[in-house]
Amino acid sequence: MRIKPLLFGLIVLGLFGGIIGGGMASGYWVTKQSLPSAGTVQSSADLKGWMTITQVSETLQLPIPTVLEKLRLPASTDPSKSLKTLATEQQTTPDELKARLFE
Amino acid sequence: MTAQPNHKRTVALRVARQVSLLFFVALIAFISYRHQALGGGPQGAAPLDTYCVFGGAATLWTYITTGQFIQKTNMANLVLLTAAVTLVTLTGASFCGWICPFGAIQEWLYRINKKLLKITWTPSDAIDRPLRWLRFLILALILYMTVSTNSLWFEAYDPFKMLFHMNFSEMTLTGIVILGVTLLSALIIERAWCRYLCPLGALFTLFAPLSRINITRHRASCINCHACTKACPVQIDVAQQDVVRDSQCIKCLRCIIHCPVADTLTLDAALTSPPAPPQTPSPSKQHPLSS
Repeated sequence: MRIKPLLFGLIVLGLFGGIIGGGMASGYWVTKQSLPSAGTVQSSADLKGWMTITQVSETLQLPIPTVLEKLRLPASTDPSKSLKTLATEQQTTPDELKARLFE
Repeated sequence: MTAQPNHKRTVALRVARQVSLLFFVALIAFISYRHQALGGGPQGAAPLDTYCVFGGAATLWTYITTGQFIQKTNMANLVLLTAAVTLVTLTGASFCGWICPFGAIQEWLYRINKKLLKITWTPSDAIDRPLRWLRFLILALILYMTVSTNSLWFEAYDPFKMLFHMNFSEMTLTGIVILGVTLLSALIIERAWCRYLCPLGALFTLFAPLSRINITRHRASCINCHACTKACPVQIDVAQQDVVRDSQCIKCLRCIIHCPVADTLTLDAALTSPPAPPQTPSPSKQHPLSS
């Protein structure tokens, strides 16, 4: 069966988009990371740079002041800031910052 | 007298493919920018890695064995991998020719250089063929290191990520050097990364031979001008084949566009078996480019 070149292009895009669309419709298209369940964090690797102080506090089941103290950050630090942002502000890396929580 | 191909149709085909590539380049750039602007996690936007087809291959083993995803990857990677592998299995490596943003950038760089500086190089078969095996070595190395380290080991070296990540502070020196060399080589050799180093291309090579849609050369009307071979961005000798089943074929259809005789190169779908080549003998086998 002969296929016109332009139709071929449409088949390529339609097939690719169709499968992704099918994945979206069936709920398999998951892009956003979810917060680790409370009490499941074993090491700094389980903490992500996008986590805010509030989220770290929830995940580690520690009060926010304790988290800030372990991170060696001022008590006035905004708890909605992410570890990545704070690491940049502190001129360190997110990995170094996370490691402080497990020292 | 030979029939001329419809000029409007070839222009439409060129434009359609370039629009498709431009769309995916813009989409990836937007996804990356959105992540940098909003951050990651449930409150932000997913990183570029989550929208990478190769990320699906990298995280597949971990997902099968542990039910978890490697950091920065997610179920979307597996959906993308499924879409790409299905596409390649049915239509050949058309993902590379119609969708891949990094392939598009390379293609555009080569075109700019070809028009402005005109410093291009077409490697001989003796160089080209062995170098293509590098892709498989790289694919094996990445998959091994990804499983060993349980992380996206390649991200620090990935020129695709270096180019589209939009966060210079996270770029590694090695990654910048690899990106620089890749873009420089793309200026001189058409789609150099795709042909010699792309691990995703290596993966596609395993599925592309199953393609049900292939380019057929009709010997009866072929005038052996070799315009098709000359036009091919991945150096397939189209003029010497009845059916192009080369797994390297990215289905850019440039051979069809450049063919001066209408309906001499066609796209044929075989739902049950590969299309049979025409039986008319070829009048000449001499390659005009070699003289």
